[in-house]
Amino acid sequence: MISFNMKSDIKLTQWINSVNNDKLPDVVKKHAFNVAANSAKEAPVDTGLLKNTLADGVEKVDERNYTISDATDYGVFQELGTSRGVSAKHFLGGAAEREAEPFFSDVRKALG
Amino acid sequence: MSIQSPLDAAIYTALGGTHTNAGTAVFLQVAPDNYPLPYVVWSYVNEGDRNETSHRLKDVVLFIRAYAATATAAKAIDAQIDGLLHHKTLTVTGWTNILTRRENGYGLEETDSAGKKTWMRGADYRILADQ
Repeated sequence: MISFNMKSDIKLTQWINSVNNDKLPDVVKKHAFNVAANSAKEAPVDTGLLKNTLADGVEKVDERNYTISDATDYGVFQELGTSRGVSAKHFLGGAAEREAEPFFSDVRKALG
Repeated sequence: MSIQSPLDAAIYTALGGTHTNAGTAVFLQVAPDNYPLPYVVWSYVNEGDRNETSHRLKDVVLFIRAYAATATAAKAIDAQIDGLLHHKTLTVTGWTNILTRRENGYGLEETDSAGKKTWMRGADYRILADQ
C-alpha cells in the first residue's frame, strides 16, 4: 500500500485545518478525488489492480483530510522505482503535484 | 520549452565525480542492469510552469535517491546529496536557479529471491528556475 501526503508546508496545513470556513471541506474533498482519479489514469497497468484500487482508494480522515492509497504490495515499487530496473512512475506524487495549483486556487476563492 | 536537458546536466555536475560515496555512478531514471552498488538515480516527479509572472518560471520536482547494500551507506549518500542541494544554487544553462530545497523524504528496502537486500534512501527536491 502506498500513500502520499499532499502538503505545501506544515504551518499552511495547520492553518487550513484551523480556519473557520464552511467551503473548505468541499474544496479538500474535490481535490482529493481529483488526485485519486488522476493517479489511477497514470498508474501502470498489468492486471489493473493498482489502477482500480487507486481510483477507489480515497478515505476520509476528517472534513479537511483525506488519504489516497492503493491496495497492492507492489504499488510502492512502481511509484518510487527499484534498484533492479523498475523506473519510478510517480503516478501518485505527480498527480498530487499537478493538483496543487488548482487546489490552492480554489482555497483562495473559498476564502474570498 | 523543457528545462530537463540543462537541469539533467546540472544535477550530474552537482552530484557526480567525487561529491558523494557513489562517485560517478549517477543516473537519470534507472541504473544500467546489474550495476554495482552504491549508486544514485534521479527522476522527474513533475515539471510545471508557474504562470504567475511575465518570466518563464519552472517548478520542477525531482526524486533523487541512493541505492546501497546497507541502510547506513544509503543514508550517508542521501545526507551528502542533501548537503549538496538543499538551499544551494544549481548552475542550469539558460536558466536562473531561484530555489532548490529538499521536501518529502523516502526510504525503501528491497529483498531479491536470494534474500539479498538493497536499501534506498532519498527525497523530493523542488527546483524553481526562471528565464
